[in-house]
Amino acid sequence: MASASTDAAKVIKVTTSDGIDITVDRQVAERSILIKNLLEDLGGESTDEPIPIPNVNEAVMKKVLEWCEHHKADPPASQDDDSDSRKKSTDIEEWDQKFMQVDQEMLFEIILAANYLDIKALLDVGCKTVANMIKGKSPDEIRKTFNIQNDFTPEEEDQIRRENEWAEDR
Amino acid sequence: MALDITLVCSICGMPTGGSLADHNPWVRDLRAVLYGDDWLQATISENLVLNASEQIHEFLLSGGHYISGSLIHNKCYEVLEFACHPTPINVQILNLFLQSFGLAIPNLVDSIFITSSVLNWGHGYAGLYQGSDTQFRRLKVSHNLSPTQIRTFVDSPCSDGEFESRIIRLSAEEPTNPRKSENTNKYIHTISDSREESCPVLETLPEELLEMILSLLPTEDVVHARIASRALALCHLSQNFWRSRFAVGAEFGYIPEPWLYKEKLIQDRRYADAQVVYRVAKSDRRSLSFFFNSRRRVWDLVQPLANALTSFSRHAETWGSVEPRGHRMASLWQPRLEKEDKMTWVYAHGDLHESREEPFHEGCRPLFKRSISLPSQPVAAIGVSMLPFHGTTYITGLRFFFDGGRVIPLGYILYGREIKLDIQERLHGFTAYTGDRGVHGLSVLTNDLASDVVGDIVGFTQTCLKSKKVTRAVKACFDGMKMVWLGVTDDVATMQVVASSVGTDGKVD
Repeated sequence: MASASTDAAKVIKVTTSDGIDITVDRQVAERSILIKNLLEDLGGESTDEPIPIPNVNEAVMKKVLEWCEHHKADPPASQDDDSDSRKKSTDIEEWDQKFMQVDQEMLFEIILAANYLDIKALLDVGCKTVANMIKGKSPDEIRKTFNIQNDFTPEEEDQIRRENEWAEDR
Repeated sequence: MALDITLVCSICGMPTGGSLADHNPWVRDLRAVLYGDDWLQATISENLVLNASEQIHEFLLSGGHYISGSLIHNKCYEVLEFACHPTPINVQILNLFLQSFGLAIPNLVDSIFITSSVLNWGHGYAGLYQGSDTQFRRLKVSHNLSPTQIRTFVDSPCSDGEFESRIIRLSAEEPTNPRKSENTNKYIHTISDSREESCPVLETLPEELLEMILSLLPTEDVVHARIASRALALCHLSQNFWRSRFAVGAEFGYIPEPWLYKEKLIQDRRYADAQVVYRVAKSDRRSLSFFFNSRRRVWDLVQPLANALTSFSRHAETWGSVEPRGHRMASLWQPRLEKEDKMTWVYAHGDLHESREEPFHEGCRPLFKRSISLPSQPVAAIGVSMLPFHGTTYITGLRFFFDGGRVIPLGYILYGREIKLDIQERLHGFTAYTGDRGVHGLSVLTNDLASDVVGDIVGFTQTCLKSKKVTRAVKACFDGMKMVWLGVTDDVATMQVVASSVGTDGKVD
C-alpha cells in the first residue's frame, strides 16, 4: 500500500493566469514537458507551492488537463520527432476530434497553451484541426471560416499569386 | 544438391538479369534473401553484381549448401529500406513474408522480358501482370503495354544522377535569378502588414505555428490559405515546410530523400535544400527522362510491405521472437514440437499446402501451429490484429483479455493495428471469412450474439465455428504473415491434454 506521503507527491498544484489554483495528478500534469522540467528542477521533492502558469487561464488550463488526463497512459513522445513528422497525416482519433469541437477562440487558445506548455501531441491535434478546416476550401471560403477580412489590394493579391507559382503544375 | 531461387525481383516483378540488363545494368545489381536447412535463419547477401542471372546459380552453389531464397534488386531493396526507416529491415521477418506467398508461373512465352516465375503477393506489380480475378490468384504478363509503361518498368527506381545534377544546376542559378529567390517571401514581405489589434484569432498565432499548420496541408490548399490571409501570406516557409512536401502521403511522399538526408541516412548533400529539390521534382514530374514513374510504382508496391515489416518488427521486439504466440505444436516445418492433440475441432482454413516441397504456387502454408486454452471465466474483450495488404486484410493474431488483467495472445500481435471487441461473456466460437491465402476477416460468437465483423469479408467463404457449449481452447496455424487455419473446441473430455501443456504460455502478459 502506498503511504500518505507518497500519495501527496503524486498530486501537484498549478496557478493559472487568472489566479486560480488547480490540483492535478503529477502524472497527468507531466504530459506538459514545461511542467515536467520545472518539477525535475525542484529535485523531485514534493512541494505545496503551486507552479505558476502565467500564460494560461483557468478555463483553458482545465480543458488542457482534460486532454492530459485522457492521454496520461500514452507512450511518451518520441525523442526523434523527425521520424514522427515524416509520417504526416491530418487524421485525428475520434476522442480528440470530439475534444476539439469547441469555438474557434478556445481552439486557438488550446493551441497556444499546448505550445507554451510544450505538449507536442496536443499541439499536433490542434494544428491538424485547423488544417482540416482549411482543406479543400477556396480562398473566399477560408476567409469566411476564420472571419478574415479581405484587405488585399488587387495588386497585392496578384503579387501573392505570382509568388506562389512554385505550387503550380506546369 | 538442390537449388530454388526466384529469378524475378520479389519487389518490382522485373527480371534480375538476362538481355534486359544489357541496357539497364541496375537490374543485375542484386541482394539475395537466403536460407539453408534452418528456414528460420535467413541471411541477406551483400550486393551481387553479376553478368547474368544464370551465374547466380553458380555463385550460390559454390557454397555447396541447399539454398532457397529470393532475389531483390539492390535499388528496390534501397527503396524498401527508405520506406521502413527508422525501423531497420528484419531479414527473418522479410524471409517469412517471402515464404508466405506462392510463386506464379506467368505466360512466359508471350512475355518480352519475363523469363521466370514471380512471387504472387496478391497484386499485379502495378500493371506489369494481370490477375485471373480480383484476388490475383493467377498472374499473366500484361499484353499491349504502352511504351510509357514499359519505360516505367525498365527504369531504375533510384536516380541515375540526372535528378541530382538538375538540383545542382538550379542551386547555381538561384542567386542570379530574382524570380526564383532563395526565399519565396522576398516579395511578399513588401506587402504591408496592416493587421489590426483586434484581428481574427487564426491570424494571431505565432509564425512558427502558422507554418506548422501550412506544413500539414496539400500544396493547393497552402496557396489558397496564403491568398486568403495576410498573416499566412507573410508566413516564412522554412526547410521544415519544404520537407513536409516529401512526407509520407504528401505530394512527393515517394521521394523521402530530403528527410533521409536530414536524418543522416543518406549523405548526398544535394538533398540538403528541400526547397530546391521540390522545384526540380515539380518541373521534372512529367518528364519521361526521369526516374519518377518507376520510383512511384516501386514505392507504392513497397509501402504495404514496409508497414507490415514495421508492425511485425514490433511483435518480435515485444515477444523476443519472430514466431507467432501461443503453445507451440508440431507442424511440417517445426516437426520436433509436441504432436497433434486428440481433440475434435471445428475449423476453417485457406487452401493449405502441407508439403515441404517447394515452391508452392497458390494458397498458403501452415508453417506454425499454435494453441491456447481459455480459463473458465468470461472473456472481457478480444483484440483482433489485422493487416491491410494490397487491397485486402489478413487476420494475423488474437488477444483474449480477462478481468483482472490476464491476457492470452495467439499469433502475431500487431500493436496499433488491433481492433478490440468487447465481449464480457464466455466464448462460443467465431465466424471466419477465408480465402485461398488465409483468414481475411472474423467475428466473435457468444451464446446468442455475434460481434461486429473485423476485416475483409466480401468474396470470401464464411464458416461458422461454433462450440457445442463454450469454447475451451482455440487453435490456429500461421504462415509467416497471417492466420491460415482457425479452430475451436469444447471437447472437455480430452481437455487435459491441452490444458496441461498450455500452462506456462497461457499466462503470458
